[in-house]
Amino acid sequence: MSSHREAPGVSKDPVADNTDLYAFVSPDRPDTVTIIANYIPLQFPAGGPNFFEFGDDVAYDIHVSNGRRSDAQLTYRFRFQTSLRNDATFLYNTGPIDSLTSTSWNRRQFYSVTRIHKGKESLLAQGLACPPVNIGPRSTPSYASLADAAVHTVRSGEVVFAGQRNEGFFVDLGSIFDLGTLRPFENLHLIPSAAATGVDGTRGFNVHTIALQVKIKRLTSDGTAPTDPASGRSVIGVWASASRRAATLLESDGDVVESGPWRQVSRLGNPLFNEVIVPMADKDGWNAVPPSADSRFVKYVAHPELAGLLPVLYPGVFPNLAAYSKDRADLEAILLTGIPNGIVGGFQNFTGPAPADMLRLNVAIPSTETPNRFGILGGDLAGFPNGRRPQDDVVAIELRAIAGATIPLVDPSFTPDGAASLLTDGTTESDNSSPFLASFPYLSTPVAGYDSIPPDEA
Amino acid sequence: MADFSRREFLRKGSIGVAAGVAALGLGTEGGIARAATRATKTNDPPAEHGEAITSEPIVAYVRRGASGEVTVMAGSREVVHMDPDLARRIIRASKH
Repeated sequence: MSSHREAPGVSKDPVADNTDLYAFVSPDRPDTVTIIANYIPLQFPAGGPNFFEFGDDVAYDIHVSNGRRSDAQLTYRFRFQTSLRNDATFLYNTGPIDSLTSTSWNRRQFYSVTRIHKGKESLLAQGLACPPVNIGPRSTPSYASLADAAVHTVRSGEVVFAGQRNEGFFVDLGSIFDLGTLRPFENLHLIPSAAATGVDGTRGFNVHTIALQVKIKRLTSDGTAPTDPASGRSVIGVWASASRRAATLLESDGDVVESGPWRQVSRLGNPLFNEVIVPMADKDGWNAVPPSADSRFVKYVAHPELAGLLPVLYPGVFPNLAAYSKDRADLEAILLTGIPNGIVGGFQNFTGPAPADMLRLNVAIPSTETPNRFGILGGDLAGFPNGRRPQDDVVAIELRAIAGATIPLVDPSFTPDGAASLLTDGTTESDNSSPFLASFPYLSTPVAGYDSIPPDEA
Repeated sequence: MADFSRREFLRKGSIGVAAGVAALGLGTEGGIARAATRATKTNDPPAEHGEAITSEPIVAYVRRGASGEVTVMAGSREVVHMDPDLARRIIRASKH
């Protein structure tokens, strides 16, 4: 998965678990960038009466670097507060929730947004309402309108949304974690079976989304909206994180005491970085540090375990990859430094030589009306790894890159294996429960609990 | 150490720290704030300093008793003391 339950520690703390991160020039508001940070993976929609919600005890951060740096120049911090209307009921709601102020809605969440710019904090808004979770036709009969009402514009101009959304990440979880099986190619697997179409393992599940739409000039180092893709000022680095207080004490009456500074327990930049690049023994440590401390993880990018496994799992399919022993400078550029000028025509997202896992977005490259799901590999400079859009097929893109399809960008002497440019897990965005929205917050209406179907009946 | 829970230890540790802080001459809010200025690890703004000391719980963490390293957390702050005497007194408090 992109980053769902990707590390032993945070897999036991889903409220603080970053799952996916998107950053793209907003197609319908081209002077803005939209950043979407998802948390709380694999929500079975019917999971009441204590439905999924953000943690009041977690600091949810979206970080932005600029000026060819790898440390955060700007952070948007989201803090949540849960409010009970009726402490005499076990129910989430005691009647239909027809508005964000409905008296039938018992357990509500509100949040604040703080902008931290070079260490200086500015409270942008507080008391912003989250929508309820999507329960069903009796409890949340007009869910889309409830969600629309939870899109807020704060006084400094940022547009924000925090609440439940349908999982937009598509991936064949069941096969990939069964010894690296890709169903369309499983006839070629070490343990073969008939080739099959992919199965979207996250279909039917929900996540919790923090979405932020910001004027480009509020994100760049010089306060402008750059128009030259070749300029270093056009590139921002983005990552998201979740932090908890350093100390938590459980009182005998059920109260919880927290104290101390924030400690990061989860982060996410490029999809699948901690998931498939970092070994299990280092995953929790990776989650605890910022991207600027990523130099100790470079070795895992230079010689990724998965690149060694592919020739073993698919005998005879990747002979050129198997024979390639050089450092993977292509992956280091894509994931850790950005791609410099001169590698891909008309494109760069280089942030300097310091290795740091960030989603790098060149904001001078406009969105396109005809996106290619393979992003830059498909000739679409507005897609991953130039930021990431919801529809980008990051599983296929990263599989192909790790399999060697991008080595010629830095080593023309290498000829990729024929399969490298064909790899896919067989899933696409059309496998999602519902299509993406055309406007903010772009991720679609969550599946209602009433409508959810157990996986073995789907 | 009979029937002594981690929670009790931390509670008693907090008491021990309060006593220790007073003994160190850092008992006033201003004193605590000054100590935090010298040794704080937090990035939180100074506006929060001092105000939480009398109203919020204080957590003491003897990370390495032998070296005398004691971490004290209050509010969003964390102060690391290298104080073998303070560490010894907290350890002693945990045994009674």
